[in-house]
Amino acid sequence: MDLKIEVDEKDGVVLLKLNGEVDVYTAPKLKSRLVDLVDQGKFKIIVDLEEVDFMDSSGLGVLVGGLKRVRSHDGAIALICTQENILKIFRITGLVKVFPIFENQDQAVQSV
Amino acid sequence: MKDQSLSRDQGQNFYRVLEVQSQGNKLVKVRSFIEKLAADCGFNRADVFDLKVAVGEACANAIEHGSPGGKNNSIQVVCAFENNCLEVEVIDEGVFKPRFPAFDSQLNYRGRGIPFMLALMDEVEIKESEEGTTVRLVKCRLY
Repeated sequence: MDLKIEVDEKDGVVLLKLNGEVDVYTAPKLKSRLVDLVDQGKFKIIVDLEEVDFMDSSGLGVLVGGLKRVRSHDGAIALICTQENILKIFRITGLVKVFPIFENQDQAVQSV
Repeated sequence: MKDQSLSRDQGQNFYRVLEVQSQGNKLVKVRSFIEKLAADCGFNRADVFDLKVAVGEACANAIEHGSPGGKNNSIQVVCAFENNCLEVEVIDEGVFKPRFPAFDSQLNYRGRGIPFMLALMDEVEIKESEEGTTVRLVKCRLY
């Protein structure tokens, strides 16, 4: 399965909606999109993981890399995720303390 | 080498082998293989997901570090189910590079997968030989 990325922007906040699987093969696509956004001066980003079926450490690495990039511009990345399987991946790596994770878009927008 | 799988059933216990080219785009095939296998073994959805992550990480390591010949190398995923435990061996043709930390205090990303395997599996063993590296993962069904 491939990874599809939809990009939307509202009031200076970019929403990346991911659909599919994020692994060592597809993660570079997400990285490229995040790098492009930062290069375009977009430092407030929400990543919606609700339609992500699978994510491994490559995906986490890309998200952490994106977070470091936006933080260097006083930006932020928030995540939308209610899927227990995906949340578990963030818990076992301790990244629940690094990324604010919300149940819906409204909550995420307020946080960034 | 063409992707192939073999199987040998012995009552409730069974043995399966999947061999794929050492390429990142083969990870989907490995995960599908593990997903079906684990479901057939009676694992619930959460455990199936754990197995997909752990085996996927082992295979990603094998592709990245265990394949000196690139896609000319292959990876074997050997699975055996016995006494409610699924044992998966990921066998490559290279040298294992242990990188344990996942993220340090500065959010530097240094690890790849080993913390996942340790957290998600009941047993993790890494065996090295001149022919290659074998990562052995075991998950037991407790219900």
